[in-house]
Amino acid sequence: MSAIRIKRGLDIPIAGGLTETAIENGPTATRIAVLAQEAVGIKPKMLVRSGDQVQIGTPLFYDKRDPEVLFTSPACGKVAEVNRGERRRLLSVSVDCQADSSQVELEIPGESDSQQLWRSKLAKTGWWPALRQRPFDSVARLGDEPQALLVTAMDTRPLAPSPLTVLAGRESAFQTGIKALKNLVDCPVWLCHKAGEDWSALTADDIQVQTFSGPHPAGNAGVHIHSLSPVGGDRKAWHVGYQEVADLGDFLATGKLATQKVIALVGPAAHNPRLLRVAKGADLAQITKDESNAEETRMISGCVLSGLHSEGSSPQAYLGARSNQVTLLDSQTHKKFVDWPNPLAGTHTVSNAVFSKFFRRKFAMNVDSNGSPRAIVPIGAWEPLMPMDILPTQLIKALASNDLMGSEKLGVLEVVEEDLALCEYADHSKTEISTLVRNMLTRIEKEG
Amino acid sequence: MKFLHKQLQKVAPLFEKGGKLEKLYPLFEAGESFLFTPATPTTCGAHVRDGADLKRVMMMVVYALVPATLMAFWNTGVQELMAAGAARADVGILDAVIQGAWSFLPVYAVTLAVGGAFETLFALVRKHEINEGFLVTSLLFPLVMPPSIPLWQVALGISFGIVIGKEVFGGTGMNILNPALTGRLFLFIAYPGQMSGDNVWVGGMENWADGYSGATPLANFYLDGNAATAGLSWWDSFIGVIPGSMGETSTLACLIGAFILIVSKVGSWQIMLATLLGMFGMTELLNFLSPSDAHYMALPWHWHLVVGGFAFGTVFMATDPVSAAQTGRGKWIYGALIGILTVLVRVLNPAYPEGMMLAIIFMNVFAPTIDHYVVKANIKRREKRLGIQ
Repeated sequence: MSAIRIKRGLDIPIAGGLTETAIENGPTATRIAVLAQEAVGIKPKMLVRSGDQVQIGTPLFYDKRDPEVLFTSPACGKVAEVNRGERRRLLSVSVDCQADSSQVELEIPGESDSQQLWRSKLAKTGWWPALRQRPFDSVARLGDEPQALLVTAMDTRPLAPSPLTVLAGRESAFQTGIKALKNLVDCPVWLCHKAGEDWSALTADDIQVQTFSGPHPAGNAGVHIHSLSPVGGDRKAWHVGYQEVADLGDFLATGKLATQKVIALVGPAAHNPRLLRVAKGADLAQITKDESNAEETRMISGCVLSGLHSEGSSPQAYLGARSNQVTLLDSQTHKKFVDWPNPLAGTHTVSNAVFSKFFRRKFAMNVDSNGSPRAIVPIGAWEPLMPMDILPTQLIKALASNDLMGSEKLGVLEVVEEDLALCEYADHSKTEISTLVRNMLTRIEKEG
Repeated sequence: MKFLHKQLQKVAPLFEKGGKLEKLYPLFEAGESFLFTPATPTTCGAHVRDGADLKRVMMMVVYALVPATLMAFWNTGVQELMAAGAARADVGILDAVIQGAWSFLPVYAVTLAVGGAFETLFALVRKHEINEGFLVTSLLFPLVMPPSIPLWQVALGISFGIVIGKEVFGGTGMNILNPALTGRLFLFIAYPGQMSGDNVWVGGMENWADGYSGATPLANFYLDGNAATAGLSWWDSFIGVIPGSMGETSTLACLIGAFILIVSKVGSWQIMLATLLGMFGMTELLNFLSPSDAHYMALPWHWHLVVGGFAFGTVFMATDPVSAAQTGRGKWIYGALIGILTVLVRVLNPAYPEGMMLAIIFMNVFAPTIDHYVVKANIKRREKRLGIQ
């Protein structure tokens, strides 16, 4: 099938990208954590307490909505902390690792098993939460039947690694995994990858392949779903990341749960951007030790547009299960004297209100929001960044005025934070669009 | 700079929550962010942000207005000196600029003082930040004033524009009318003697030489139709050496402004082009229907372009992002209708020689309706894809 060309979007010219494709082994993790905040929509119930001994695959907590869906430990060791935030919301469960690789006994689903058995067996391994559902981007429900299941084998996020490079050496595992996905659903399974790449050795006959080209967000699951199987009304779609598919393949072939993943350590503050193989849920401070050239560093699990927010040693400063990169940014900002009339301020802008982008190819961006909140003045900066058939100005205004009916009609169910992150980046009124969209989605889910 | 920064940080607690001057925080915020970039780190959503904030966006519009403002100084002076009997060739640039400054600067100063006071008052009461949009409104307003305008009317006009045109709707971003034009429309309707007719477009009436008329080209077209072009140079009109509102006579200055707005992507080129095309189409139609070559209907489009407020309105007023249509297709319809209405009012309406302001205000009112239908079409299309409809 011919590639779907995404024309609207932007590859942010941020410095600190990968230059090599070799994968190095990262530092040995002494502490890891499972982040509950990442699994949107679950109602976690603890199964362990701090001090308990756990093995690889020991359930740490489960989802009260789907009691069979377990969240398991990716390492062997002792539960260190159960971190809770406001209103006792579970943030993370951390584990002090031991040099041991014993794993709890798990059932491997076989070809003869029914779809239901496949699902419940995988739910017990802790792999299931890798499946996410649109709308809402929450963990897929065991009893649901989606209209499509998409494998997002494309990553256009700023400074993201190439999926084919990350999967080097795991081709057959990926193939086993993607074949197995057919056992989980009745709907078509799509492999979405970048146009021009050769995935023939990684896919199977009954998998539909669709390629995409163009600037970010061409690689976002939201864009793929919008093109192939739009959601809303009663329609749902599931999607899953490429490393998770390879993890599934490995488990089916060997019975071993994956304990490591490959990430790209990148960012303007990273002095040696490269690919690292690290423990799942690794402590970000450990991975990024001596890697930053900034005095104070923000470590982001994910990319600069939609990565997780965490402070230096907070309970959330761990590698997220879905992150394929860790981005380092200088977290110090500097006040500049009467800079607003200066059209050569040295920053990148989507509009041409600052000319510096004509003289520089890459920008060493930091965490400066470059302005303060104002009322929305729509100068048309969002439209060229929104590849979906959605009117961004109208949608964002509906979100800002907390208009549930309007947002729903304008397509809020087709987007999540990462789909509007570019608009948030380009917004000169510095509106917190990501927060607005998540609050609205939560409200819709609650009120139906 | 460090000293200044330290002093600001010292007084900052006074204005923050719980401080003595908490109520004046918007004023402090405006002053502080004027002196120093806020440098606030991102705490949620995207970790890095675009370098443009509303200040920079609005500054681009101010930069785009610089040529028109310079022309306002110069041409206002040239017109006054010529009205007093000087030959065009004898008027020195400096003399003209100084003469023009005496007309323009008082109007600008009153606009800034009165408009700024209302802007601040509403920000304090509503507890929101002072919006940089005022930078633009306060410069646009004096530019569309006739040079002979009494200053108390300026104060009244900008007050009406800011309060009724903007703040009653909830402030910047929520207004449906362009505040500067609303103020001008108010003066136009309330004080027609000072806002229309022949005697207002050139200042210093007490110094006028005998027999000088002070009429604008539009007024002449209105009286004599196409024949009036005979006594007028198109190039003078293009450059802007004609009587008219202080900042809007020069099409050349507006073109430079349009270039800056379009290149910086701050102004919508779709609206500008659509307005131009609307005007062109309507003029061509009227030319075709014109009963005689001397009739006003026969006036060609390139004259409509250079006289009155067409160029200024197209570039700076119609493109106001808040009061214009905000959907892609809506912008084309909105712009084209402004162009069409302008020519209709100019040529076929018996009461007003100029139609640009009325056309823009009228279409400001209709912009939400246009958008409504474009949005509805989008919603329908998406529902169809989902199989809901």
